[in-house]
Amino acid sequence: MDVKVLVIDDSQMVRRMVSNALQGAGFATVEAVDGVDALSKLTDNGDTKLIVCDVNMPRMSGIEFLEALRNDRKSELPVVMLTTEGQPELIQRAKSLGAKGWIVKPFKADLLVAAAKKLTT
Amino acid sequence: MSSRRPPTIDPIPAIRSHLVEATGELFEAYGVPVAFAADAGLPDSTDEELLTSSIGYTSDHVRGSLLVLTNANTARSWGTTDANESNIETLSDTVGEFTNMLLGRLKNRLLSHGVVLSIATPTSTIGRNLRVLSSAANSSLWLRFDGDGSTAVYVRLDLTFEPGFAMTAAPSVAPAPAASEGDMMLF
Repeated sequence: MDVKVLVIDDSQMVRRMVSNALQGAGFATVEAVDGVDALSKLTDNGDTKLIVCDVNMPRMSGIEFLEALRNDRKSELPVVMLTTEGQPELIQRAKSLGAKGWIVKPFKADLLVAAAKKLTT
Repeated sequence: MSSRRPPTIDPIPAIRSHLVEATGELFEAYGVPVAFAADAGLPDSTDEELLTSSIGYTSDHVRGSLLVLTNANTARSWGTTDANESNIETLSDTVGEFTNMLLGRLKNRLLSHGVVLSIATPTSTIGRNLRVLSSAANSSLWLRFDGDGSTAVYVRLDLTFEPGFAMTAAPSVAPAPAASEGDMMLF
């Protein structure tokens, strides 16, 4: 069975580009438009093995989602942040919340796939 | 012992230079190079369907918004959508994401000047006969970039500075450099 990845981004363009890259490498993907939607999708997709998450999103940001995932859901699922942000303080905040990676857009598909394989095996 | 104050620079030319460079780099990264053409806004009259996206930002020193404006054919040429799926809503989303990435690049560049922007999310608009009115901001930069096949992208940055704001020159070695576009870090 394909390893499932949850892709969270408010941009349809980014969701599609990430999903295409991952599906091309044999992953299955589920998409969410923000942190609130992602928490709901996780409930319905308990077999998710990895999360790729934007930072700046409406309703619930990527950092707020990480906080909810770790503190409320008590989940240790690996999360890779995929964002335009490169601010060291934000990266450190995500790292302290247990994020496993940080990618600055535009992403390189081969690097994303390599990270996904490393974090799901 | 003498205290050393960092040198200050005129913020408008510095920010304009960063914006021109960041725009060129962004479109180059997506394989659709554009070149700075002019300090120019949208023509007064055009009835073609246009796509715009704007994102507000704020910081301790400066606040404003970034707007990107183009037409459907240009957005379609950016190559991020399949031709048979490039409806106007999808193209509008694409313009929104490019605006987001451009402001992110500008933010990363301004970090070295001690300016830390907080960025909102995009608001996009589609329409004909659009006019962008003059701004109440202290300063507005209107830039036109031309690509292949008579495509054009307009970028407008509105800036309002807090009184007394002085922008520092970028240090030759940043104490904690920001991550750059395309970088991947695994922890």
